[in-house]
Amino acid sequence: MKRPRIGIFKFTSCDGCQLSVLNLEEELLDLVGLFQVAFFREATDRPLRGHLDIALVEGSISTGWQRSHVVEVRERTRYLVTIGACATSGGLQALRNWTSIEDYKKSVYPSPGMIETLPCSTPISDHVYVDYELWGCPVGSDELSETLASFLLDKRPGIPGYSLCMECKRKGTPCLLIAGSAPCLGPVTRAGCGVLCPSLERPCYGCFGPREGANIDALLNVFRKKGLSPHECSLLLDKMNTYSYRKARSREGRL
Amino acid sequence: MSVPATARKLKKEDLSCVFDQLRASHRVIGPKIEGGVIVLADIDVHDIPAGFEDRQAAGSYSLIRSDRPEIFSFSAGPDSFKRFLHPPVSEMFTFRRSRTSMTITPSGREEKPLAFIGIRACDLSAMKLYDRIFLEGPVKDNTYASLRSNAFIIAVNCCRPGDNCFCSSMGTGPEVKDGYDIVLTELRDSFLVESGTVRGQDLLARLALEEATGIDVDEKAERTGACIRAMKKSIRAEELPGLIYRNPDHPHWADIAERDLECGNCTQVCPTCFCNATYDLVRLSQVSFKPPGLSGVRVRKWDSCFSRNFGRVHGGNFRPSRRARYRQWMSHKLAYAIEQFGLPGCVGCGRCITWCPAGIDITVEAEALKDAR
Amino acid sequence: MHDRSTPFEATIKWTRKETRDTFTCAIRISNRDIQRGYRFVPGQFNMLYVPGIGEAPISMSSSPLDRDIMHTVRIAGDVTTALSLLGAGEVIGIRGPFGRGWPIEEAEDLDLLIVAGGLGIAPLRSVARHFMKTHSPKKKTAHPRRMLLYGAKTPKDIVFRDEFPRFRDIFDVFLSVDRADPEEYWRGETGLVTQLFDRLSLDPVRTIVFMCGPEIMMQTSVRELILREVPEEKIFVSMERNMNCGMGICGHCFFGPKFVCKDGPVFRFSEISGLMGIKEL
Repeated sequence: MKRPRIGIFKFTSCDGCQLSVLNLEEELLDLVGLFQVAFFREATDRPLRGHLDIALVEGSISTGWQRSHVVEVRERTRYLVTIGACATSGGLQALRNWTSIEDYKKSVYPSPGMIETLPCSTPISDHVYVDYELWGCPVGSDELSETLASFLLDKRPGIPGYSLCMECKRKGTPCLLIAGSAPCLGPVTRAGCGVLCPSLERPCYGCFGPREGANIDALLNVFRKKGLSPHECSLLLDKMNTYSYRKARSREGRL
Repeated sequence: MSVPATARKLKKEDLSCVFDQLRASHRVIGPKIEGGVIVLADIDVHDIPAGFEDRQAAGSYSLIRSDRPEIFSFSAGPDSFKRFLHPPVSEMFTFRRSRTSMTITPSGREEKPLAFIGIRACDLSAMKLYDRIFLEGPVKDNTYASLRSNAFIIAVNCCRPGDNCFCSSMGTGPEVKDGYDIVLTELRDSFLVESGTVRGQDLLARLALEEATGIDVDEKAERTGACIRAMKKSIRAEELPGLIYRNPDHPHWADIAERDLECGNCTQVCPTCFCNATYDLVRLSQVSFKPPGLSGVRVRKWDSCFSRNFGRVHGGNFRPSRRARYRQWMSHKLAYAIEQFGLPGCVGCGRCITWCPAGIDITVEAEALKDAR
Repeated sequence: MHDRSTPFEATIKWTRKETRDTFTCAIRISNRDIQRGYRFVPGQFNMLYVPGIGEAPISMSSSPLDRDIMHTVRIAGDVTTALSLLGAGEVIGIRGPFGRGWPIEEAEDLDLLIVAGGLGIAPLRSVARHFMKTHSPKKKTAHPRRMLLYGAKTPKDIVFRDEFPRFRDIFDVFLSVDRADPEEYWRGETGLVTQLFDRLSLDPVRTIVFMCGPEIMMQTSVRELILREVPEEKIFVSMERNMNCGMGICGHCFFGPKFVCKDGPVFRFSEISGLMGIKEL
């Protein structure tokens, strides 16, 4: 049997999710054995040629070149999976979507005219069809491994759609929101991280993004009652998944 | 009051003797403070949070030092026996498959039987429901059966209700009625101990305790009675099944859905919620092309009717709205379980109230459900 | 009784394509002892397991008297797709049988009306084959009368199309399709299965009905039958829900207070009439 061809791509991002691929450690050898790595800028500088069976895409779309390149990747790929918050949700850089990009350019760069960028940073799914989205900042190695195995087995990966609270309770982690009165985003955030922060007594800040149908406004009401101002509430959401939380708020506030 | 033949007295400082009796043969599970919360874990006698009291409200929990002399002055935390008898994540079996053969190897279970210390009446009622679900249905569940079969139960009668407790209106507490090997009632200066089984009796015999008197038994009645009187919450247990069956389209369901986070916390802390999902886990390292084959593990995890995929089948979802998902949960607790198993699906422990981030209180929501006039 | 939470091995004897998206696969349990102890009733189901992919609840479409256990499957999710790719000689896991089946004995001396829609014919083919095996062919009797109503989307979607001539040996068969393209040369009825009721002359006191199909079809069919004074107690319907364990311990298949996996999938309509029509139950 021919090994499926895999490509790993990067757009606007910090490379952390690609590093998660390298962090598969011993499983990285299995990956190389089971797949033919046709493109991986982080590891080799071979150019992209031919078709791909699966593409892992990191990073958001924030330039005109990226916008056309992601279409090219999609056209060459049977199965496209986004990895991490930037590719899935626009990333931290999507914070600029609600400000003026021109102001930023002027304040950061001496010659702002040289900077070519789009006014918004957007997830891959705003541009091309995405088969699967893996969330997280960075993406979880377990989910990545299971997704790649699922691809080989021709089944849908078992990415959980329920809240982080479910994972927290299974693990028996004391609830920071209730026993610690901390503004924890667990109830509206997807499970999948393995309860990294709450296990260390840090409230969830939503790096796995909003769960499908999350009732975000209801949670913010709870935080308001705990004494947070509306501004503090929105700051909680304005992180690497700001674009998705804002979209989810406008869409899912209803029943 | 007449004194039961098995009633004995145990000095408070001798509670450790019970641990000593059990430790060799059992894994002893009981209450312990972790991260500001009373959880259930492997414990020794000094782990019991003696002198602590919990303050609970809808969506809030804290522990304070108690000015009361009792050892068991606290009430239920988020954990219950279900974490141990129906583990949150359990491995069912491992599998190996090639084109023409498959091997399935059931996963081994813990050898040492469990002993639960300090289990309350509400949770014993929940355990009885679990027995009906996992042992007394048309098919017995092996995982639960193996963990349950030799479990030793040391129950405690509640003398102080938790702030969110309503067991007396559910008829499930505060006094332990059955399902225990030994039950303790904490009196002023000692424990009144009674055995409910032969093995409980044997254990007490080994401790060589003095016999209890009528005064002790009277004090027990007085203390559990005081607990009932102090309970702040109640629910219309008798009327609710009918109300729920008659009102699937009550506007209040939509009202709850506005506040409901559908995070599933209530279902995870509920001692009667048993829903679970099973799936195959295959990692990259377990797939091979030459020769074609794979191995992996089948895992069972707690699930929740609040999760969106719970009612999903190919091509649709039987409960797409939050309103329907909340209704399903509450109906199951207060109405369906009685029809299914002859026991209430809610034992009045109040955990779902405390551990709901949105502070949704089942007793308040149930009160709002009325027949249309 | 064998353990039913762990699958046992079965070998695929043959598979056959039925329609563009359905197929039948016949399996035989590998272990002789388990094979001997395995007994099912038409209407019950097995959990078919492809290790690594998962399980799917599939009702038996063969008669208990058939040598092999047959399942007729629609290719819908990962498990059914994986099953469709397996061939003779390959192995799968099975758990079962689960659930409550059709009350065959109660139907023995009554007029039996089978109403099926789409793939809902699968558990009823089990009933049909049972009657064909236990009754001498070509002896259609006036009483008890046996009728089979079947509706499919299009002529191409009729499952077991080549078997209907044999069903006609003991059943009065009425077929209907929702729509037929002109090039399909469909000369039968077009329209919903419910309109076929007008063609029957039912004797409501001695009729028993077995029904399986989409929920909406079953609801309208039951309404038609009640109009014709067939009592709810004599109407049996097979329900569908998400199933995971098959044995009443996982909670996925709740239909109100009913466990579809162990109280059903076949229900006496009177048991569930109050639940039918409640939205998102």
